[in-house]
Amino acid sequence: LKKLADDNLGQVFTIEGVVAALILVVALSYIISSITLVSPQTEKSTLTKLNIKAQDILNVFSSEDIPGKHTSNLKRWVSNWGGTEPSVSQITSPSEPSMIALNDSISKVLLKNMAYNVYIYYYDSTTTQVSKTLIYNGEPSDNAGIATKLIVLNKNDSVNYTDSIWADMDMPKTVEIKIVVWPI
Amino acid sequence: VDMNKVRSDCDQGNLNFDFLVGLTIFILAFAFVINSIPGIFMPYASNLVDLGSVTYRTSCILAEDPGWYNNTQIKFSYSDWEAGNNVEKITRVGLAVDKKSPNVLSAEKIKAMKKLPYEKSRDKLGLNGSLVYDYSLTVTKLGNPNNVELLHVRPDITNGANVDSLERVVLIREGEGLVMDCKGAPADNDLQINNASNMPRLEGNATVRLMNRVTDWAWFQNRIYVTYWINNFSTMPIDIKTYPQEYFSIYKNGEYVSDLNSEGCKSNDVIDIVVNCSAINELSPARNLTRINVFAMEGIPQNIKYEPPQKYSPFESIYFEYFNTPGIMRLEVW
Repeated sequence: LKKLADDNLGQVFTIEGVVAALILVVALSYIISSITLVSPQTEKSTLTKLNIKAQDILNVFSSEDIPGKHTSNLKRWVSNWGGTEPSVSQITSPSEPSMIALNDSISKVLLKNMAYNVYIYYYDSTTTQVSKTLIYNGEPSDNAGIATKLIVLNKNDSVNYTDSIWADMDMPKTVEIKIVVWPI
Repeated sequence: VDMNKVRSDCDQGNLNFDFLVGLTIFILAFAFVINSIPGIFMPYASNLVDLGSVTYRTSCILAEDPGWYNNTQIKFSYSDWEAGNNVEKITRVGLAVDKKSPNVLSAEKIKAMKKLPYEKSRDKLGLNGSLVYDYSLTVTKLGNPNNVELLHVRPDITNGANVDSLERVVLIREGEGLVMDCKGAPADNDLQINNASNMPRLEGNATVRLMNRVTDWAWFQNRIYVTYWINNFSTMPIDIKTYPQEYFSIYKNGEYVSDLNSEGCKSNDVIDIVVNCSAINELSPARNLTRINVFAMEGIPQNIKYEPPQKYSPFESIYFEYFNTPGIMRLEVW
């Protein structure tokens, strides 16, 4: 019997070792299954998609809407702009119906989880470059899509030319519209 | 032979239990690693590296290119592949109305693509080269209040395939004509009074689009009048409804309706009235259809004139527009 008690052959000695190995395998499989493999291009392609979306929006609203007239909604909205920027608490200035129309149209084609700002750049009558905000939804995030479009404004593009900001400038005038789109 | 010694002291020919467990764990772990190795290299597989650019390329062909067909028999090629039997000679699928209007899709081409077999359209989109891709495409017209799916090319996605998707913002062009937007129109009832002698006669089909009514309405509440000018004098405007059906046709939300009166209209329905001007002119030699007036019982403007061709535009009226509706084109490639 004494011999039987001393006999340690055929027994599991290192139960701690087995348990540790099992824990390691379980932990490893959990980690590997929970991470999604990200290819190096993923971030770049998301940004490309935002850029495409931004460019699409400007293309869509600056496409000709009256046959043979070279007019577009964007052109009309910008030429009717009175020059007022939105204040800190506003998305668009309430005194600018054309910018409210622009904002409505963009929000219709963008998904709910996207925000956007629209800016305008032009040279005023004193050859100073002016940059102003047309639509403001907040500060864009780092990965934002950007697109710009040059528009040539003529006097007869506007239905209220004398009230617009362009009334005391030389026409035709070339302005640049910039849209910044980012996910929220 | 001492039997006791054989039973308790002899450990030859036994498998060590520790070793057995250790080996099992090792084999399990090894199998797991082997199993997951293909997944580790998946993002670097050749068809996945260029999946993004293939998706972008295909979306550009669809949204910015009008397509092409090539009739080798008469040696003629052009981009109206959707017309007639040209679709049999198609060399490239494209949905844009023309090369100068990116993101403006032709409703006619969308209709034609619906009938195109999947394998053929995939071939003509350039997805059937040395690497074969599958694609799915939906074009949705953003409506008020309902979105309408105009095109739905969707084969089953292969299980476990990596899918890249891209959404393009587009305009869907359903033709051109006089747009009577009852909500957004300016309060200008009398737009222009032309000298009658300047007005050439209207030919072909002229379309009047009524939209954005405030309330539900009946067809009889709207009066589409046509006016003839004979020797610089106008006849009395005649309601188009007094003509037989072959001289005009009515479309509700893009679908032909034979009897709008019994079907009824909701306020948000878009009604297109297509007047066959040539047919009305041909009713008698003296007829010269020069103007279509639109009267509506509700909404401003009350009286829009469908003016005839002038210098730049086919119809000189500021309400003569393209029927453009915003939409979303969604493309998936795998």
